[in-house]
Amino acid sequence: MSSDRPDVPALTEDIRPGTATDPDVGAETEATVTVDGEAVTVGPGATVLDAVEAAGAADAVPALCSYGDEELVGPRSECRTCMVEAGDHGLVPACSFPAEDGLAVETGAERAVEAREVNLDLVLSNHNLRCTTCNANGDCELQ
Amino acid sequence: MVRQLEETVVRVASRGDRGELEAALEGATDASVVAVGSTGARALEPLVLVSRAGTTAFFAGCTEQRAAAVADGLASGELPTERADAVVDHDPDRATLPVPDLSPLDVGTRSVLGRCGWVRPAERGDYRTGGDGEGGGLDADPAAVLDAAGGVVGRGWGDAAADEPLGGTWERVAGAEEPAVVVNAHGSPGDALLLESAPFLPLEGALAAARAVGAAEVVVYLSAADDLARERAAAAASDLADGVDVRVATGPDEHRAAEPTMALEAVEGNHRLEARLRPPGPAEAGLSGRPTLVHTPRTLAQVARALDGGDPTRVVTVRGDVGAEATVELPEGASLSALRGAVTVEGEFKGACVGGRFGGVTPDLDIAANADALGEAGLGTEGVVDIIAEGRCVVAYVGEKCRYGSEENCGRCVPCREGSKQLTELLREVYGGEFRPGRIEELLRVVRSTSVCGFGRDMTRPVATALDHFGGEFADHADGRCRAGACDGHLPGVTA
Repeated sequence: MSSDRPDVPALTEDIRPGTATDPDVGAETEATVTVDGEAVTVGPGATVLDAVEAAGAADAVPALCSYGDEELVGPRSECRTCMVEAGDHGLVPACSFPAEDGLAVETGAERAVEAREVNLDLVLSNHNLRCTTCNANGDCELQ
Repeated sequence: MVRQLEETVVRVASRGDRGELEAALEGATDASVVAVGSTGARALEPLVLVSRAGTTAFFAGCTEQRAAAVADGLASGELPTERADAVVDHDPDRATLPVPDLSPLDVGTRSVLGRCGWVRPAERGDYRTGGDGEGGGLDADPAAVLDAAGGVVGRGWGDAAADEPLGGTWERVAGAEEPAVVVNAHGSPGDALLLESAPFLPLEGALAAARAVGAAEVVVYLSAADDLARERAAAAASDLADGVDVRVATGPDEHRAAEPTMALEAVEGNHRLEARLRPPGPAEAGLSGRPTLVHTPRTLAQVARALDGGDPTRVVTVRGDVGAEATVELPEGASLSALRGAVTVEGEFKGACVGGRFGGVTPDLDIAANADALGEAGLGTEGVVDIIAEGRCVVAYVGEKCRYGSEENCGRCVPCREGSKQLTELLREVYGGEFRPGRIEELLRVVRSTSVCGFGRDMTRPVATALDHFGGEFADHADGRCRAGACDGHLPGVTA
C-alpha cells in the first residue's frame, strides 16, 4: 500500500512477494453456466466462483482466500475451501477455474462438500484463534 | 565415429572421471582408449569394453591392475577374451552397446539406452552411425513428428503431459504464437543418465518438437546438483542446434523443483518456487506466458524412437534395499518383475515402492510397465522402483515419505501444506496406539483431489497404497507390534 505523502517512501512497491506467476484464470468469453440446476450468465474473465455468487449459492462455498480483488491479489487459490464439482473436470477450485460455457456446477456434491470441510479444518488447524485481540474480530469469515 | 574395423577400441564406461584407468590402458597399448558414459549398470562400473573386428570383451568392476593386465594381453596381439566377464560378437560398425550376458545389462531391452556406455556422449560423430535408425528425428518433417508424438505418452511427474498422449498438446501449441520447449531433466536418475551418456537422443526429440510446433527456443532444465548432465547437455546442445536457440538452466536441488510449473518458475529466475495455478496449463501459458511444451528427456527420447519406428519402452531405475542401483529399460508390455533380475536384493524381497519418492507400495511387482497398468494398480509412473526388503517396516517407510512431503512442499496450498502435516501426525499417533484409518483416508482423499499440483496429489500415494496392501501392519503397530522388528524402541509397551 503506497502512501499519498511524498516524503514517505512507498514501502511495498519494490518488494516482490515471491509468489508464482499465475496465468489468467478467467474465461475468455461470456458464458452460461448451470449452478445447482440454475442457469446464470457471466461476462468475460469470470470464474466459476463468480457464477456461484451470481446464482446465490455462495453461502455454501466459503472461498476464504478469495478477496474479489483480482487486480491486487488475484485468485491465489491457496485455501481450497471453494472446491465444487464441475462435470468432466471433476473437483475444481471455483475461485480460479474459468467459467466455461455449458459447465454444470454442483456445489452440494458429496466429495466437494467433504473437500471444503476438510480444507476449512486444515486452515483452522494452523490458525491461532486469539479472536478477542484480533483486528478482524467481528468482521472475520472464520467466525 | 569410433572406428573399429581393423583397430582395437577400448571403452571405459563410467559415470565419473576414470582418467587413471584410461592412462593404465593407454600406457601399455596403442589401441585407442575412449571415455564413454555410464551404461546405467552401476554394479559393473567402471566397465572396460575392448572391441576388435566385431568382437567385444567386457571387464566389469575394472581396477587399475586388471586394466594393466588387459593392456598386456592386447600388447601380445590378442583380444584377452579368456579373462573377460563376457564376450559378444556383433556388427563391427555397431552404434549401440552390444548386449552381453551380464546382469543388469541383459535385463529388458536397450533401445533409448542403447548408446549409453558405447558412444562418447558429447561427440556428435558417434551418434547416428551405422544402420541403427539412420535419419530419424533430425530431418523428419513437422507433420511426421506430430504424428509420431501423437502416440507417445509423457513420462515422469516432471512432464506436463505425464501419462497422457502428447498429440493433443502439441497440436494446440503448434498453432500458437512464439511457443517454447522446456526439457525438464530435474530430479530423475533416468533423465540424468540419458543426458550424461547419450544427450543427443533426447535433444534430437526436443529439436524435432521445436520444429513441429514452430518454437525458436529450447531450454534444458536440470537440478543445480547434476553437474555432469548439465555439462554434457550443454556440449551436445552447442553441437546440434541449428536455427533453434538451445540453452541450459538450473533450479535448486529439491524434489519439488521438478514439478512442471515450478520448473518454469525456476527457468524464469524465481528463487522461491511455488506451483502455478492451472488451467490454463503450460501449453497455453508457460514460459513467460508463452505456450510451452514441458517434457522430460525420457519422453523426448521416446519421440525420437517413435520417429525411427520403434515400440515404446520405459526407462526404470531400481534402487532401495539393493546392492547397487541399476537403470534399465523395459518394453511397455513387460512385467516389472523382470527388474528383480537387475539387482541383488539385500535380504528377502518384501515389496517395492513403484514410482519414485512418492510412488505406490506393492508386495507384487508382476505389473506391466506402462502407464495404464501402473495407474490401475495405484502405482506411480516416475520410472524409479525402490526395492523394500523384509527387514524394513512399511509403516515407518511411508511415514518417513509423508514427513518428507510435509517438509518439502512449496507451501502454497492448504491441503498439501497443512494436510501433509496432519497426515504425518496421524501416522505418529499409530505409534502411540491410536490408528484412525477413516480419518487418514478422508485426509488422503482431500489432499489428493484438491492440491494445486502433482506434489500434493502424489504425496498421498505411499500411505494410500500401504494401507491397501499392508494395512495389518498399521493395526499391529497400534497394538505395539512391528512385524519387521524395526520400530521396537518407538512402540508402546515394547522396550528396545
